[in-house]
Amino acid sequence: MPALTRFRHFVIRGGPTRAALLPALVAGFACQMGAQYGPTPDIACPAYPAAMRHQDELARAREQRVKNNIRRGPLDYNGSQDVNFIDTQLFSRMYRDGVTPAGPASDAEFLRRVTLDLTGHIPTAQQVLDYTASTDPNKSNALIESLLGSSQFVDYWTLWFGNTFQVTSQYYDFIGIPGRTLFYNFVRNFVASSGSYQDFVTALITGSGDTYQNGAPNYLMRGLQYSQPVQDSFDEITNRVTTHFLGVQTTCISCHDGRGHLESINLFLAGKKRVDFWQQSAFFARMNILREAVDPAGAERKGIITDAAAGGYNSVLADPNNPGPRPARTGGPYSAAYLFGGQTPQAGNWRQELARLVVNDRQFARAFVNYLWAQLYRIGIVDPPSGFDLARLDPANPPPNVPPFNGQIQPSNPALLEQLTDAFIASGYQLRPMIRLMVQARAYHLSSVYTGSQVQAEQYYAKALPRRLSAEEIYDAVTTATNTPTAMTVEGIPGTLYYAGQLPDPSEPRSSSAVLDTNNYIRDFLGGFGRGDWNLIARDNTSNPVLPLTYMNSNTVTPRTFGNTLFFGDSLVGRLAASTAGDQDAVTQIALATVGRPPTAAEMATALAYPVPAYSREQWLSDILWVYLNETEFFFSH
Amino acid sequence: MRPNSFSVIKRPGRIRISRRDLLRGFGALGVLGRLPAEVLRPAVWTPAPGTRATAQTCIFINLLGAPSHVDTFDYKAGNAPANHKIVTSNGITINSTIFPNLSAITGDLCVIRSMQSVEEAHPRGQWAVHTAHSSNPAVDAETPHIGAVVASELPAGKFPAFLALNGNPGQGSAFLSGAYGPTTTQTSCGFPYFQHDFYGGASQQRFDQKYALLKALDPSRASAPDPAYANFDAFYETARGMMYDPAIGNVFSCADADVARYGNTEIGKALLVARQAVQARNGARFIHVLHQNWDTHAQMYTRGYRLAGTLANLWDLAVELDRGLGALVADLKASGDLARTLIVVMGEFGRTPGPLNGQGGRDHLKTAMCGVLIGGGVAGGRVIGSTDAIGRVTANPGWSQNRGIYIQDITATIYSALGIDWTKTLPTPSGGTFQYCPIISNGANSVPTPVNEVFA
Repeated sequence: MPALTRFRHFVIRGGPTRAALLPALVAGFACQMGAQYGPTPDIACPAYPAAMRHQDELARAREQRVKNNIRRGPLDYNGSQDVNFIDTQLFSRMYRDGVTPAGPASDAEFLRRVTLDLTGHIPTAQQVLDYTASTDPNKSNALIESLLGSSQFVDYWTLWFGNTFQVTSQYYDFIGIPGRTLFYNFVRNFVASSGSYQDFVTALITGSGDTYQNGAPNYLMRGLQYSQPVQDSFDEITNRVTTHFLGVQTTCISCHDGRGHLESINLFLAGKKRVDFWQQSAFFARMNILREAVDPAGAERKGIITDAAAGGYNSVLADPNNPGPRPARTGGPYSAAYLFGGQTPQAGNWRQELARLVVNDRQFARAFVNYLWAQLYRIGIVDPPSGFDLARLDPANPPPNVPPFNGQIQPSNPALLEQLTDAFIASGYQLRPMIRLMVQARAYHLSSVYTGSQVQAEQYYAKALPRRLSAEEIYDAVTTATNTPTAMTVEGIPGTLYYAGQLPDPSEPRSSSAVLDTNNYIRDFLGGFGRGDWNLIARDNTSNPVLPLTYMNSNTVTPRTFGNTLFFGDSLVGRLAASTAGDQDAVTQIALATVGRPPTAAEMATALAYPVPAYSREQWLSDILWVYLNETEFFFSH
Repeated sequence: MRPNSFSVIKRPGRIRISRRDLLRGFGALGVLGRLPAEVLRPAVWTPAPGTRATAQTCIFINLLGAPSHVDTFDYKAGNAPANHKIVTSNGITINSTIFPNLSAITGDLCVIRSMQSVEEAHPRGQWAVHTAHSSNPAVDAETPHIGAVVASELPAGKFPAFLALNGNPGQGSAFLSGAYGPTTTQTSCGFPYFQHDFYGGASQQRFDQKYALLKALDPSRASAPDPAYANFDAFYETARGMMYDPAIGNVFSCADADVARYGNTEIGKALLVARQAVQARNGARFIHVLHQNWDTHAQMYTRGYRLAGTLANLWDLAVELDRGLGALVADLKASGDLARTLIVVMGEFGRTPGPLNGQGGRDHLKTAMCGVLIGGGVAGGRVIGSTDAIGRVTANPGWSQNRGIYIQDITATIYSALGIDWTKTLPTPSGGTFQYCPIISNGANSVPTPVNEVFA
């Protein structure tokens, strides 16, 4: 959602504007999990007088409400139920503005949501039964810990990073399967570890050597611009680095100055010149990517990445007849200077200097927690998360009061963003503590069912916003629900894979022959649901009528609803048909296995009344299962 | 930079909610979000005053990557290899070696040679082609595709109004209802999923029972707890309406002889399906056809030259486009549908003129480009505007506004041909204004204007 939408709320209500809402929050709670909320293992928290500040803030909010004559909502908030500072920030803001949040999610709803969001899988029927039956008051935390420690977590977040970095073996002819696999394993090892994101990114920016021997340098190889001047590779890699690691797309100023172009888009970049970009790009100007043929025909090439000790960003083209896609460059050679602060290299290896500047930039941490937030809460605090405007982040220093920004800062909740940033830094830049913090928060445990306005739900995170599952999640959910795992083999990955979430890049699973095999069907299914190709076709989780056509009628789904067959020897329907379970039990099992909850009374009645005199029990079960696989909620994390 | 028309607008993992649905508020969604699209429109459709209203469907052939204007429809002497045959008829000079069919039907082509672009990078250039707007991250999410605007304006039929063949059209319906979004297929000919073919002769009956059970059983089909759910159900309903309907299935069913005539290529098969969609006269209003790989930085005249396994040279691309487009024009003409079908052929910008670059290709150029219009009330055998001797800049605009012709002007022309008021604006959910054709950022803030010179 564009930031503008959020601001409109205040305009309409005549309520507090940025200036009014922030003073209490600006101070920021560096870490709110002090004694009052109990220690959190991964984040070292100084003792924090949370209660005191809290009372302060609420008092101010009450004053504001009276002053601005804002209707007080039924929400009765005193902070006592806050799990961590996320709740304090979100619920105090709702309280201040009279927005009532959704009620708590049911156990089943939460289980399905958090399992999907952390691992990309739906829970099994038995997991639903166990979790909903448990009376352990700490069961949600125990669940979160078990998910964070699972191998599916590693699969899922490796794919998440992979989708960002887009290192696919289909990237023209210079990332082959060996480079792809090495890179996949490099990312996977980071996700599996408790390593620092700083170290991980440093390795990506400084990756050197043979791309068929080392994983990391394939990140840079992916930015290589075939048949263009070397400056275009530097520029492209620079934009990738600023987008991935700082949340700022800088490609605009790789062709022209910001002035006269970006005033209504990005105030920070509007003040930057193309020459500023060249100086940023110069951090890569001493890098040399040698392309070396792997096969005699040169159809596949690997890279050897090295650094020269001297040199700068040159505007002169190696081949004047091949100017490349960008307008002519002038001047130089340029020395490196950091676009986001002006720092210059202190040593000869400029890529190492760039890595040092990037990973120690507060924006590095801020951008990452915002990417994470956008994944788990569906809408970034700055949204889109790759569109940070660094001149509109500080509430104490708002932009001028002219259109289109009208004095508004960019983050929907700047204090929350800064506290998340602090927490990430304090955790040693670890992935799991941040995810834990976000999904432990009570705000994450709200129901997706909400009677308030959708606009408020989005502006305030007042309900759980449904997320359409990715192609891989849908395929894997069908597999899990129907118990029909299908073997996939992927070159370079040992063993047999059964889940799309384990595939190392979207060219997989490939077929060994032109004959249609199951790999082909699976690949088509994933493509149809918007997996993209990490190159020319971006991932697309929107929907259209072709999706239900494919889903209802392709060979990938319906045959899995049958009893045991040659292909699927232990299907859910096969099991149920062979069991002594009564009809009610069978419907319940199907609902638990698919939508992760018991059937409603109406669903049960409808299913039992399904008129199938001519059918076998197996056919009846098959139709019930097919219908549950097509229920809308099956396709969402909600 | 390689063409990537989508990287600026799509992000992984985001839900997309119709902005109009949001504007209406949650309470209304349970009802309005589920109505067939035509209920939301006036019962009787009349063209907007001042529009040409000469066409009922637009086939937009998007040459992704930007074709070289000086080797295609603004041909400059000496650019093709010496053994290529260059012919002139109806005042249109064209390379008949790579365009054997189009060079024979210049009487149907209206070639625009005074086009310009404000963009020189693929993602932004393609965004403009798709939406007629400059990409601006602050409002991109509230900027629908041209095809969605057309779908929202014109009368609906059984067929999806906005069809996208050969892949994603880069943007959807944004704040317009999800019902106006693109129906996107990766496979055009032989799209296999219009039957639930699992139970032999009883398949259709069994499917009807299952679908009825689904409608009765799924609680969110009666009242959606979220706009995303309501859209999803609407897509199911549209899908259901397309199944077991020969009028729909036949559109995607291709006879071998036709495939042979159109060329057994992705573009050929998509154009064949586009023809059948038009001829079905069943509500197809905007058909976006993607033709990839026109970003010919290297070896553009090397037949067989490929990148990542797919043809990436001008020669082969032109030949496969020519074959499909030639057959499309011939067939629509024969069936009498060409007069009501506007075909637009263009990419996102032009390419550097003069001698080829060191790689044997051409690079990006925004100061000159070209496009071709066919049918739908357009006069064939006509050339609008011209470029200088080598094709670097516009020499003579050749139309009423006496300036370069931009995508906003082409869009205004398309809207006018379809009877849509191109000056229309809509309020957006965030409180802004969506202009069908916005002011052009060409330095002079030009007002988008239909190129009426193209019409007969």
